[in-house]
Amino acid sequence: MIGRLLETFTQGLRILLAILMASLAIPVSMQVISRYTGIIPTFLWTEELATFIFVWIVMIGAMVAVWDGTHFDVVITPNASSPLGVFVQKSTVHIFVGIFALLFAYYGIEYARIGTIQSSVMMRANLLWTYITVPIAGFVWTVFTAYRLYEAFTTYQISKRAKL
Amino acid sequence: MIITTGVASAILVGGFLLLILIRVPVAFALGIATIPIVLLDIRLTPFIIIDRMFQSYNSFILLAVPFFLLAANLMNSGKITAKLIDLARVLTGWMPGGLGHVNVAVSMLFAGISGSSTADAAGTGKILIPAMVKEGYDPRFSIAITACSSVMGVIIPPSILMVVWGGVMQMSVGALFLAGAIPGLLIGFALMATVYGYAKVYDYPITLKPTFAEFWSAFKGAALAMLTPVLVIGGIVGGIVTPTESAIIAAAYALFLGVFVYRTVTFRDLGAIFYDTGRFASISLFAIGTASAFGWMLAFYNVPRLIVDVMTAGDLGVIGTSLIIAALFLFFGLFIDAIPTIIILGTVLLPVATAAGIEPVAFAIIGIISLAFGLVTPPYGLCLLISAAIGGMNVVSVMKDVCIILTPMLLILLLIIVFPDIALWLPRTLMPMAFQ
Repeated sequence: MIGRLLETFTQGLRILLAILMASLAIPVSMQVISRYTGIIPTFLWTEELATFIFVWIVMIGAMVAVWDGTHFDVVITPNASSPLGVFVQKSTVHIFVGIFALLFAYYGIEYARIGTIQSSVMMRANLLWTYITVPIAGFVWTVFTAYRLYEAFTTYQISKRAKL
Repeated sequence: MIITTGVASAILVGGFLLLILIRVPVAFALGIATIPIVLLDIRLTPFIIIDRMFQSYNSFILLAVPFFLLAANLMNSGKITAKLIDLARVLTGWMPGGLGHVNVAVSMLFAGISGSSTADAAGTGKILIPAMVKEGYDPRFSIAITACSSVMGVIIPPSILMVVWGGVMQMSVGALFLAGAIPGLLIGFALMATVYGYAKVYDYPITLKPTFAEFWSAFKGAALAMLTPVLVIGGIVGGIVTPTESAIIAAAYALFLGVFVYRTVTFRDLGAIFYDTGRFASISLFAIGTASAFGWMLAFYNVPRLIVDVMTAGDLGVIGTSLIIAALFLFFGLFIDAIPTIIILGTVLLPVATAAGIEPVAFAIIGIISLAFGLVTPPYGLCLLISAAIGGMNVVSVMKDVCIILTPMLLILLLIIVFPDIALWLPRTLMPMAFQ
């Protein structure tokens, strides 16, 4: 149930990621068109808006990759063969990522608060619009890794029972 | 407490290596390794990790990365890659080991349009690996040549790694693009010589002897795609567009070709293409943030200065220092993605290179070629992993062929270390102001 809910949430993130990637092209294209054709006036805020969207793309993509387990890792050590070994191998990774996620969520709240008192130079937009991605990413990673940890434990228990 | 340089280095490097050993994703391992330091040293707070990460994304030049990836994905989805393969087939298919040469030649063409080796391996591999196996080529050779030739994607301009390098180290991306051209072509020719050797030993067939009509048809099919390097490289070198703008022009052009000219991309496909681009770009770019925090911490504890002192004390000269630099990039490239390595190791070694009298552009090319080889060396060889997955084989089983094919490529790297003018001649001729 929770797993399905989180998968649906991640699907929403995936759609948002595709939309943001498509919309990233708009401000950068406007910049190119205005500079070389003069069809539209020169907008100074396009670069800033593009950077804002870019930050969201990086953070949302990083969230989705934690759920999908697609952040690049290096396989040097052999795969564990016993159910306990597999559980230890997987849970160690989840715990470390979880620690980083918690740190991001906890300190990210204060970081986002700093954003509220700052504005961007061109658009005069409140920087909370981008700084907020830090605690959101931290929180989402925490939930995702906690669920993956639970999943690894459940798989371990099932495999242990099957072995008995 | 105040942590000393030695302790900080041990925690950072030791912690990072330990974390990747237990399979913590590289991007997170870089960030996690910094946590003990910020918690122990009274001069630092966890805010620094977050802020350094966050500020590294605040870069307009990095926007070029998703757009070059988008261009590559559009090329693969829009069957532009297939058109390039047709052209490569008539250009090189008549030689012994025809499809092997086609594989190399198409990577050279693809590299001139895209800037991504992984997109090259995925796009050409899907078509050429099954085709080669069907024509009787050893699957291990087919996988190895696909993976090894795809490394040209980041050496022949345009190149995502060069954009990142230029952005991080405040260097002219145009000069880097030009400096990559001749080494990239030399690597291509070295690969073709290796394919020829294989063809003679294993009696691999030729693919076709093209008629003029076939040649003309293939040339016409790929001609519009081949205009991309003119737009991208010409635009940057001519000072007309910035790297980011050239990347969006490349993506827009690939979109135009796919949707309106070849009519192989539908608006329905675009959602998946945008998602796939965003997904892959964000995984690579997220690591830039944690690598920046890691690199900043090394700099805070004066580790780069220490390395400069040690290496300059050895008085190794230009070639000796270049060899060590290449060895370090090759070693790090085994374990870490190229982009974070540029941020951590590139910035640390730049003062070493400068102190030894190595031209920064030559230093960049040595670093990028060395890192490109990391794309086909396990455990973290993305292009090899992609090609092996397409060919349905284990990475270990193709390593012998990868090593054979890499040997002449390493000789080219050695040649550039000894004679850096091979790389520097073109940018010095066309962009002399970049060297002032």
